[in-house]
This record gives sequence, structure tokens and C-alpha cells, in this order.
Amino acid sequence: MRRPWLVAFAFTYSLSGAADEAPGWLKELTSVAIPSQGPKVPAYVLWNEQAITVEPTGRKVIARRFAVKILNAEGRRYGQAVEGFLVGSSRVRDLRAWAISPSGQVKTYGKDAVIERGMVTDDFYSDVRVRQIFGAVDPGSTFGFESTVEDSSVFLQAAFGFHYGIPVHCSRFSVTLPPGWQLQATVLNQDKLEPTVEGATQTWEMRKLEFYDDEPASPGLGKYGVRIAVSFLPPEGTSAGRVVRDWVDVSRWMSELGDPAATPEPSVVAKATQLTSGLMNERERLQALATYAQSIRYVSIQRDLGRGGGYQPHPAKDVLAKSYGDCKDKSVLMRSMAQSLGFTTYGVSAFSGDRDAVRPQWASPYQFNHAIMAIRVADSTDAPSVMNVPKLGRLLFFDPTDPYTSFGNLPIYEQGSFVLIEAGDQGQLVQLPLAPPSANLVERTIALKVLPDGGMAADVTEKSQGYAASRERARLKQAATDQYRKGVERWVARSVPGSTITKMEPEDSATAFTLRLGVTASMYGKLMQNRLLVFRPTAVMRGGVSPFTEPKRTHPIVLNPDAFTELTTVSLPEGFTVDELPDAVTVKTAFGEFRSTYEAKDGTLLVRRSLEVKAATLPPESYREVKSFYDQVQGHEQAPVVLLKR
Amino acid sequence: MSYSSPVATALALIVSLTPLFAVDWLPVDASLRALQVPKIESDADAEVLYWDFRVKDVFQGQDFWVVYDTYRRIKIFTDKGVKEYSTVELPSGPRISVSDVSARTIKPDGTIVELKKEDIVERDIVKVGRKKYRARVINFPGVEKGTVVEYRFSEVRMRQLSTNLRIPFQLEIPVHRLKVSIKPLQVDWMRYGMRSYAFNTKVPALAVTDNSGYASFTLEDRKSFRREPFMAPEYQLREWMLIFYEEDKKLTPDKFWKEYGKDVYREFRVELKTDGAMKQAAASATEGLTTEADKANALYRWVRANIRNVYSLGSGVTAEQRQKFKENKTPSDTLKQKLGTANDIALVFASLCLSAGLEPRLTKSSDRGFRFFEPAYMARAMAPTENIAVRAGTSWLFFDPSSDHLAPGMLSWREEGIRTLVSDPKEPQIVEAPMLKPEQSVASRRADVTIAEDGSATAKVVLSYTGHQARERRLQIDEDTEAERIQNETEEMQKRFGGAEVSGMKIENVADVEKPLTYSFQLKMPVYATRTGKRLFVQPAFFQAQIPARFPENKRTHPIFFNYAWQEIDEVTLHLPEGLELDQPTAPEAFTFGPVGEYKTELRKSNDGHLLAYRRELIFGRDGVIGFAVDSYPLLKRAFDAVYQQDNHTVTLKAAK
Repeated sequence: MRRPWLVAFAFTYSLSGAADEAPGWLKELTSVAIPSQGPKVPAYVLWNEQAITVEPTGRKVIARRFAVKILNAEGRRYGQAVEGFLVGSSRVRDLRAWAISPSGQVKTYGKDAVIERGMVTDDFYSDVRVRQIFGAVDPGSTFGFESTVEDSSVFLQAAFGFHYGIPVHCSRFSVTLPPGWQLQATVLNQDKLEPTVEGATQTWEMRKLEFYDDEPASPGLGKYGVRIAVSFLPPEGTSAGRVVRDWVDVSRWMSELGDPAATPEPSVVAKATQLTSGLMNERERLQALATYAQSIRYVSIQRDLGRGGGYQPHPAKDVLAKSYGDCKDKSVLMRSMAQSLGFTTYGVSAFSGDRDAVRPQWASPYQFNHAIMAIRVADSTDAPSVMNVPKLGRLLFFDPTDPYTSFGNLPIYEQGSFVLIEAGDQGQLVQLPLAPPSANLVERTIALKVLPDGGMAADVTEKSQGYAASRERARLKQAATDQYRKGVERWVARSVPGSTITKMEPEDSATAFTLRLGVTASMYGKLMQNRLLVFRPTAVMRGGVSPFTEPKRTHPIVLNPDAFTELTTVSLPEGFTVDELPDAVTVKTAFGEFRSTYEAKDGTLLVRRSLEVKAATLPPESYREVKSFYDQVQGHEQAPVVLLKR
Repeated sequence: MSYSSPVATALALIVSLTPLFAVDWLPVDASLRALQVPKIESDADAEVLYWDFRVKDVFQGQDFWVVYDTYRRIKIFTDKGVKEYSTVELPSGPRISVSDVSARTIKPDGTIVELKKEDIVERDIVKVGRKKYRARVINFPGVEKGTVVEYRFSEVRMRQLSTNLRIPFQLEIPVHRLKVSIKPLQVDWMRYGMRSYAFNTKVPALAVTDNSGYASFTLEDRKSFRREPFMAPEYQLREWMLIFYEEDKKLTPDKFWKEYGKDVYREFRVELKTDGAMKQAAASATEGLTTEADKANALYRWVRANIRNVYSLGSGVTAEQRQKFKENKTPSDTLKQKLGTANDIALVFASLCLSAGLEPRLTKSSDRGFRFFEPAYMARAMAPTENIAVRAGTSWLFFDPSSDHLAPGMLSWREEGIRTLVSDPKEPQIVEAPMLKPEQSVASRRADVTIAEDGSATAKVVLSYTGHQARERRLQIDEDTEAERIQNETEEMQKRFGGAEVSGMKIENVADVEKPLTYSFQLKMPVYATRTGKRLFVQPAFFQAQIPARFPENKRTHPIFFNYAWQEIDEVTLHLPEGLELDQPTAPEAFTFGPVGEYKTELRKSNDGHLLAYRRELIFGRDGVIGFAVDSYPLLKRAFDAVYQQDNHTVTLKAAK
């Protein structure tokens, strides 16, 4: 009797007994000479290639080849193949990987090794998923993969980044279009990059890209890495997908999606009326709506992304009923409530997380990952987030997703970024204002009594505004009550060890966050040889160690606006005179100013300190000056006062 | 018998055994609205008003199943509570199925909003081949301060029983009322019955009192459980219950553990091998040695040097070697392959000991990260960790040959100093596992510091660690290359010494556990001493600068536990700047921590006044005392505040005459 299954089994068995084989292109790459790298460099990309073939229907077939050499234990995380796709509009047709050990042994990873999972994001559900292969690799191994993805999502656009953070031997991007199609290509973060053209295929290539060593206060890779952004333009009359030529195109499309959802329905009108009952002032009315919109819980459920679902908010009345929604839902609710009171509003597309991410040169909704909103306001309403926009008037920008940034301010990472105002044909890309340092002011007053044995008692009042207030609010609201208290105790104990908090009163208002503290400590000053009493008049330090500790710098330095003033009134102990005071200091630079003065009179010491730093992006050549500035500010926090016993 | 999928069977099981969810919704009444502020803890973000937890073990088809039913009603009081408790995630996966999910929101005005389908989102977390790990996420609509959210669901776990299940009675928020119901397995042929222990609280003995087959009890007003630093093991403090299946032979604890110790030995002994290769290896490793201790230590060193743990990333095993690894069926296989799992390595060490004429025993104990081993609780699950003991005269030497970076005679701190069952064919014993003395876990730090007139300084530094202090560090760096270690440690020291320039970093003896782990480097510090117009203030405790006090908080809830006893020895030579002289210097004060430890300092100056020699010694944890009752906290805090104060002792330099 024939036993065909036995024959098949034997055939399969003999195949699995054969050695794994890597493809020719990968094997060749193992002989690439890698320049010597420092210990910080975990891996070296040998090949990073993406080839897009656009079909006449607009569907894109994206082929990738990637290879990396693992240099140390930290580099093991690069030994993986990851391909993302959108449920319903794209699929990973093929994903295979190989690992070549230092001794030349090859391990092949096929379907069995593929893991599929949701992308790790803040979303509770998202159509974005990934297929992934984890390679078992050691330092000295080479890992490579090939993939093919079919993508039918709505936009006829794509982007490719040549840089990887780690060094790259070769990064290559190519596009092949069907007859009659045109390509619009924009190079970002570099003046020029010319393609080679072969028939219908255009190819851009960059080689020998250096390691991006992250330094504190650096611009993100968005400002540094060279990218190419392309738009595919079908022949006239072809319905192959959504064509985007300029920002007005994007604005029109986003307005079509967003404006209907903001139409005020009766429930929304009723809510807006209830929230603003008795309030006459424009700012107060909008503030009341804003507080409510911020209180709506953030829940992100992203479906239908491939067909633009990620850009379409839920109707405002539904967001109101459920009391939850994502960024565009919260924005649309705020818009709808404001519109019901007669205000003109617009949806605004933004990028959250990197103020340099959006590049004006390439019009595309792909550049945005966040939704905020704008309201036309009267001249009498002034705030750091107000700006005049041609054709649209005086607009106040507001982000209801951030629960800690008060109305009239913007989160620090959005300030200075490019955003798109969705106003149909009048939509435009604008750069959001950067709040001046004074808008982020921290004002501190301290009444401090030093005791003859070195103990102290102090009342501290700290009032924060703008971004500084957002930080404090976040600390208060994110921690359980006892954890917040413990955090305050730890903060005070850093400068006054062994201290006890006798009073703690946080107070949050629409415009400021105020913290009142009572502090006592027995170990504040040091009594030496029973005649010298030494103490630091900076009773409460705010920052930690300056981030600028390295002697040299490669990247520009990004400074955020910052300002603080402090007045400490120290009641000196009976029987002591002032023997030494720190010198008054003024440190003035183009980007910031620090002052510190000391005045002793009639048993009281007045210490005044102030700091102001402007928003700036400084070249690396300025590093020495920046480091010196912050070192001096920090050094002055340690400067002691010396009292002598009479 | 026709085949049915596990999932289908699980669903059928739920349908047949729980036609409706076992617990009805509680009534919605004025009492919900009346509760405006938390009842149990005034700063709670939310409180569980009612929590019903049911466990049922079933035997159906040819398999065991366990069904968990949960119902929770939670009242939310703060914005943080809204954020934390307005979503619930219910994971499921292979052999775990979640069903009967229902949820509703009760608004402050009493309106009830039942959840719709779209408020419960199902998502795949990971798919590996045909196995799916999923989660159901409940988003409660309309949640604000004052809202009550409640939900219930069933979870079926296939091919499992609830044995060794830990049922917590405390959550991260207070609980007003908790009802626990347990339905043990009832099959005639099974000789194991369900037993239970409750910890840190009293519960009635489990007894089935009606036809339902459930044994139930109710607890009220449970406080929240909050973690603190330097805390005793969590399950030593938390209120919880262990349920397990074991034959109840009505033994005393002494008899129970003796019997268990014999069973453990019997199973262990069967796995050991003393064939030719094993005897040869043992003889070669112990050549010339006569005492039991010397032989055991030599064999331990031999195993460490020759057999590697295939799953330890710090062992140097390559991915290629891992792929080629074949499962070891006997210790002889492990000896030949020179590669094995943790269990393989333990067995090969024990086999070598036996081959050398020694008496190895498998030990069972607990893990100080979980709970101390208390023999009064007669459950095998209370002693899950294993090591090897070898008889040396009348005492036992303990070894853990498979965990990384343990010198001979050293155990992980988690297994030190706790009662341990030493298995034996005749007389198992419970003994205390040894603990390293403070002098065996030393941080020894030396610095030669030259101070400039402006307060800046350069220094040559050598840091040396032994015992647990060394092991902690080795575990952090063992996967790194030498260059990575140097880079990381350089950055670490830069931060530690306030932005100093660090150069010449060398790290020695990473792999040699019997030598101190040593770091040496040079520092250039822009600010060390504090300069005023007339004076220079110097803190001689070079290594304690910028280190905050250990216990900054004033209140404490839980007992305090340190991981291990330790010692610090600092020796600092300070070269003072020319042109300045000491101004009536005094030395910091010494004191003791009672019998537990002491703090000693010495400060001497050279005859010409240009050199200061400072020595600091801190010893803590003598006689194995590393745990303190919560009442001791004020004293302990005061003691460590005093250490901080003395560490910050300053000497003054002024212009020389």
C-alpha cells in the first residue's frame, strides 16, 4: 500500500537537515569594512533600502531590505525585523530574516518565527499592528531581513528617513511610477539630494552616515536626520487615491472631516450654557469650557486608519455623552461648545513630542500626530498662545488633551512648532508662538529664621505660571496624595536634610499654581568650633545638577524659556554677626541672565536671586558659554553665609 | 469521543456551570450618593465598595479547570481616581478565556449607564503562531468624581487547578467589603483536599455550609497596601490567603517538614549520577584536599569554571551555542556538554560531591523577596527555592552553583539568613541559611585629593567591593563589553561627582568572584571645597558629598528591612592648598547603632598642616540584624540622620599667617 505521507515526511526531513542559507545580497554585506566605532555605538547599519512601486490603482507595493551588524550587547535590540501595517488597508505579504553568526553559521527565520502584535502606543485599540521577528544575535553577528508590504491607504504619499541614529553604510530609497504619473519629491534637512533615474524608477542614496550621539537639550532626530518626502500625482481624471499638492489641499480635506463633527447639537449647547452661566468676560467663558474639555478622559480607539479614520473625530455630542475621547474628540467638543456661544473656531493639526518634526516644505497630513484647536478672540483677550493669522484674525490656540497646561498657554513641546489651521481654502501652516520667559515665571518668597544651634524654621511660598505651573500640576495630579507629600519632602530634604514639613498647601487656579510650605529642620546650618555658624541661604533648591557636564559638544543646544525670582528674608540668630557674605553676581549672556544679591542689615539678611533664560537654539560653538552659565547658577546655590558669634 | 477545541469546551463549561453570572448587581441606593468622601482612608483616590471573588475547581472531560468570577464596585473620589479606575483591562491568552463581561456606570445623581458593546474593546496584544494573547478593555463612560463604576466577568483557565493560588485581601485602594467564595474540587479518587492559610489577618476556617458547594467568608474595611523603600517582603506584610491542594495527614509542622524533606531527598537522589567520568572529574578537582569543606569548595569552583548556564546572558554563552544546546537528561550529559540549565548545574555539582565521597542535600526554602519561610505553615508552596547543602562535620555548607557571581559559601541575599529545610533520607532538618557578615560585603573606597585654592580639586580614586556589594554591581555589568563598562561607569562617576571630568577608568575582576571588584580612575572636579572671601570649607568625607540622608520621610507604615549587612571603609588623603591653614579643626563624632553596628571616623593632620587624613567606617547588620519593627523607625531615622550630619562635617581653612 502506498504511503505518500511517509514519502512527504522523508522529503521534509531531508530538507530540514540541510544547512540554512542567507541570500546573496546579505552575504555580500558581511564583507563590508566597518570603520572603528566607540563603545557607545551598539550596531552598524549595513543596508537600509526601501523600494516603492506604485500601481495604476494607487496601491503601493513596498519592498524592504535591511541589514545590521551587532557591535555589542546593547546592539542586540537591533537584531529584529519589524513591519507595520494598517488593518483593512495594508498587509505584510512577506517577512523573512537571517542571522549570520561571527563564525558564519546562518539561521533562517520564516513564518513560524513571526509574531504579530499591536503597536505599543497610548491607544486602547488601534488598527496599527506590526509583524516582527526577533533574531537571536550576539555581538559580531549580522542580522538582515526582507519584507514586502502592500498598501492601499488613502494618501498617495510616502516618506523615508536615511538616518538611523546609529551609523549607516548605505541608505537607499527608490520609487517606480506607472506611465503618466508624476513624482513630487522634497528633501528635508538638507539642501539637495539628486536622484539617479533609470526608466520609471528614481533612486536616492546616502552613504557613510555618522552616529547621532544624543546629548542633553539637543534637537530631535526630526531636525537632524535627512529625509525624503514624496507625493505621487496620477494623471488628471484618475481616481487612484487622495492627491495632496499643497497645504490648502490638506486643510480642505481635514476641514471636511472635522467641521461637521463640531456642529453644536442641543446637548452640547445646553452644556456650554450651563458651564458659562453667569460669566460675562470672554476669557472667563472660554476658560470654563476649556476646563471642562480638559477634564474629559483621554481614550484613543483608532480604527479605519488606512482610509483616514485616524483624522476623523467623533461627533461632539457623542464625546459629551461618553465623557471620553482622543485628542481630536476633545478638540471637537471644545470647538462645538465655543461655537454654540457664537465663537469662530478651527481644528488645528499638530505634532506632539518634537517641535521640529513638521517641515513646511512638504504638505502632508502624515506629518501630524495630534489635534488641537484655535478660537478667534477679541483684542481684550490676551495670552501667550494668541497670535494674528492673516485672513483668519486673532486666534488663541489651545490643546485640551494636556490636562496640566492652562488655557492661554501651550505645552512647551508645541510652542514654536508648525501647525496646520484647518480652515478650508483659507487653511495655512503657521508657527506657534514661543512664550516669553516671563510667561513661565516661578516666584518664590521665603521667610526663614536661623536658630543659634543651626536649626531653622521657614515659610515658603512658590507661585508658578505657564509651563512651570503645568509641571507642578502634573506632579500633584499624577501622584496619590501621600506620594505627592513624600515627593515634596524629598525635594526639600535635598537642600535641608532632616527637615520636617509642617504645612503643605497646594493651590491650583486657572492662571497659576501656588505651593505654600512650612519647614523646620535641626540640621540646616553648621555650628563650628562653637563660634562659626555656616549656612546656605538658598533654602530650597529647584533644579538638580546642570545637564551640561561633558567638556565638549557636537549638537546645537535647545533652551526652553525659563524664569524665576526669589526673595529670601533671613532672620539671623541673636548673638551672631555676619562675617562673610557671598559676592553679588550678575551673569549676562545673549540667551540668559542670572543675578544674585545679598544685603545684611539689623539682624536680617535679604537674598535676592533671579534667572531668565530665553528660548533659543544655539550652535555647538556656544557650548562653553552655556555650560559656564549654568555652572555659575548652580555654584551660587551652594554659596554659604558665615556668621560669627559675638 | 469527538474532539472539541479547548476554547469551545471552556465556553460550554461556563454556560453549563454558570448560566447567569453568579452574583447579581448590588442595588443602587441612597447610600452610594451619601458617600461623598472616602470612608477608610481620607486621601484615597477611590475605594472598593464591594468585591466578590469566587474560585471554583472543576474536573470535566479529562481535564482540570478553574473558574474565577469577579465582581467589583468602586467609588471614585479624585481626578486621579478617574484616570486610574475608569478603564479595566482583562487579559486572556492560550488556555485562559474571559467571558460574561458586563459593566455599568452609576453617576452621582443615581443614573445608571449600562455599557454598550463599543465601550468594551477587544484587542490582540500578541499573536505567536496560532497562540493569541488578547485583552478586553472596558471604558466606563461618563466617569467623573463621585461616579461609581462596577463590572463583573468570568475567567476560565484550562488544565489548571487553583492550587498555590494567592488571594490578596488588600489592593492599592481601600476595600469596604470583600466576599471570598471557594469551591474546592470534589472527586472521589483524589486524595488531596483543599487547604488554606490566611496571613496577617484572621479568616474563618473554610467550610461548605450549604448545597452550593462553596465555602465563603466576608471581610470588611481593608486598608490599602502601599509600598515603601527598605520594606520587609511584601507577602510578609500584606493580608492574603493561600489555597492549595495537599493530602492532610494531620501532621505537626515538625513531622510534615521531615516527611517532605525525605520525599525531596528521594527524588533528588535518583537524579544524581556517579559514573566513571563524574568520579574522574571529582578526583581531579579535589586532588590533595582532605577536609569536606575544602573539597566542596573546590568542586564548586570547578563547576563554575567549567559548566555554563545556557540561559544566562552574563555567562558568555553565544546565541549559536544556545541554538545547538541539547537537553541534558542526566548530570553526565551536562558534564559532557559543559552547558546546562540552572537545575542541570545544581545536579552536576551535587553528583560531583557525591562522587568525591561528600554528602550533598537539596534544600528548600523561601525567598526574602516574597516571604520568610515559617514551618508553621505546612504548604510546600511556602518553600519554593532550592540550593545544595553539603555536610561538613556537624554543620552544613550552602552552595548555589547556578546563580551568577556567587563566591563559595555565598547565597543570594534573598535566600540568606532564613530558615531552610535540608532534605535527608533519615533526619531532614530545618536550619538557618548563613548570612554574610558586614565584613564580607565591603565597599572600600580610597581617594587621594589635591585641593586648589579656588575650591576645585583633582583626585585619584580606587573603589573596591566584595560580597553582595560586588555581586549587585557584577550583575549590572556582566553582559557589557569592557569598553561599554568603562563608558558607562565613566558617565556614572561624572554624574556622581557633580559633573567632574573622569579619566583613566579601569575595572578589574569582573569575572573573578573571589577577588574584589575594583574601579580606579582620576577626577577633575571644578567644585569640591566651598570658597568664600576669607575661607575654604572642606568636607573630608569625600565619598559622601551630595549623598542625601537615607530616610527623608518622617512617617512610616511598614517594618524596615535592609537587603544585607554591610560595611563601608573610606580612606581619604587631602592635600591642602598652599597659603591656607586649618582653622581650629574638629573631627566628626563617632557613635554606635547599639549592637547592630557603628560609625567611626578619624581625622588627623600632618605636622606641617598641609595634609589631612580622614578615615570613615560604617558597619551595619551585625549578628544578622537587618530587620526593624516599624516602632523603631524614629530611632533608625535619627541614627541615619546623624550619619548624614557627621558625613557633612566640614573643616575650615583660612589664610596662613
